[in-house]
Amino acid sequence: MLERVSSIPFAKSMSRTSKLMKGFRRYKLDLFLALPGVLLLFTFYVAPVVAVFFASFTRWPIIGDPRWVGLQNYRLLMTDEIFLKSLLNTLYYAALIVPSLTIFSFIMALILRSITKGREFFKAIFVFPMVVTLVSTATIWKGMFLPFGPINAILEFFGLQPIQFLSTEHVKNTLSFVLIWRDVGYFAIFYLAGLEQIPEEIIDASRVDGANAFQRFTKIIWPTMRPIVLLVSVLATIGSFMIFTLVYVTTRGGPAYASEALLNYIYDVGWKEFRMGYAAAAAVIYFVILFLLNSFQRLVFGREK
Amino acid sequence: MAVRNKNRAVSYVLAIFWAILIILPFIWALRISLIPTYTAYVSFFPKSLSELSLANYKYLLLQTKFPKWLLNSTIVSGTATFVNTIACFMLGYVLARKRLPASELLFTLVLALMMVPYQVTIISLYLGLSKVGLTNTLMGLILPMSAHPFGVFLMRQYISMIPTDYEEAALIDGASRTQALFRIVLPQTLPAIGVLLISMLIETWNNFILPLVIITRTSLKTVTVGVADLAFEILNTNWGVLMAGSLLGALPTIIIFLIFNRYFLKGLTLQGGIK
Repeated sequence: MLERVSSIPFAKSMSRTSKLMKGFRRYKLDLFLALPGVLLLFTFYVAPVVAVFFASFTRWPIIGDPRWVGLQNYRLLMTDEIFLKSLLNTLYYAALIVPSLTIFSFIMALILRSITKGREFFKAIFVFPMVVTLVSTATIWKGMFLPFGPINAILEFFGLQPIQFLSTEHVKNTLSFVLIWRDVGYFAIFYLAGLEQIPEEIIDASRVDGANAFQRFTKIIWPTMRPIVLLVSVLATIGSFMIFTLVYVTTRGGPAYASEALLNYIYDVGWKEFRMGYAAAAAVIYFVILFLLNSFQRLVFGREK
Repeated sequence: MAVRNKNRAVSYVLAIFWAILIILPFIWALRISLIPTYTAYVSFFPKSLSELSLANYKYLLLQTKFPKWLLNSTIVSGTATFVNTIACFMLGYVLARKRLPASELLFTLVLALMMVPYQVTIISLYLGLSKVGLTNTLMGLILPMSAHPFGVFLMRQYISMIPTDYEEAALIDGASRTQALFRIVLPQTLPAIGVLLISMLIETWNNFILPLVIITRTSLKTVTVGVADLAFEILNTNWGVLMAGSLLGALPTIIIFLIFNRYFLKGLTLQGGIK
């Protein structure tokens, strides 16, 4: 790189303002290039994160000014039955979705790995649901799961009892299934990228040397894949916490809050009851729980010391 | 090697099975969208072609605001993606070349922002936008989607892998830095820009929660919110129209994916930081 002019000794004797001017001139182009991105990121990412913490300590009706109420929102949330129910529901979704996705997408990647002809074709089909807006996916699956819909028709064809898939009893499992169905191929691509880093020769050599499938997995595949397992489980957790759209479109949280997730609760409180401060407090708790879960995953799957 | 052949055969069977499971719901939706009324007695396979009709699509395009929603989605995702790509390229370049004193600090911030799900901030974002009167405007949708931490991350990582030699040679030959940036760096970054364009187009088109809270006026809604409304608008859901809307609303991203699926798949693995 070209030597910077300001490293010349007499620059020290310059007054502060002219130094500033010099700095500005030196970085003019870079400041100009960085400005739009930095402004947008600070306005629409950094500021809202800071603001949501502040808002959570206020009572903020949609019309009128916010009023500082300290920890009152948090105290009220602790005894809010619907909040606690939606919190438990969210954890239920995560408990079902995260392990399923982490395991099934690994298996799917192994399947893709052993396919040679048409691998790109199957990859494209498997990630296809990720491309379709979740709103369409939700409406289509809602139709599939109707009491008289095609799934129940298939069940009846095999002489089984029809199931009320969106009833209190089954709704969480049904919606979890849809999210797993949608994301499993997406995460398989992550695993596959890792598996493709393992040369075929090493696997072959281990076969020749008499290693069994279990040894191959623990000694060769697992060490390469562990960081990806971490990544997938973290992303799947975030994904399961964002089940909002699916719930909103299919059930709106019903019946009787049986499928209500935390984000749906936050939406209801914020945009139906217009209690923004209260919703912000729920959002902060949502974030803290998600952060703790992700930290725990890092601890479990992170680098061995 | 007989074991491996057997494994391969099983893999193909499972892969085909899963592929069918993925495609079937969409075929079913297409089937339902092509009949006037959906009842329990509709068989999966049409008995004759005359049974099929485009009435639902006609209704959707003429009787609802669907064409307007399509237009809104196009404006929003097109503009946001365009601005996003330029902003991310420029900032990514500055961060990759560590031009500014705080470059590393700024990059750490970008990494941290990637970990924050933006849904958490939807409340404060909404309050801020309504303070400046941007709710119920398309601008209020475009601006928040116009810079994505992932985009900055992607550009920064990609550009830092491009050697600086060409830039320096151009500078020595008397090119200005702006010329070097747009004539030398930009063309070399095109593959990553393609990835960013495609994944951002799809992401902004599919965004739901932001337009749901920012827009309440029917004529300003995007396609995702419009279709979600169809699901609840009429007391008795008109399944044919709803399925037609769901398919048409997803069609633009499906077409983009069919053409550029390589870029999209590349974007996925880059998103995870896997090269």
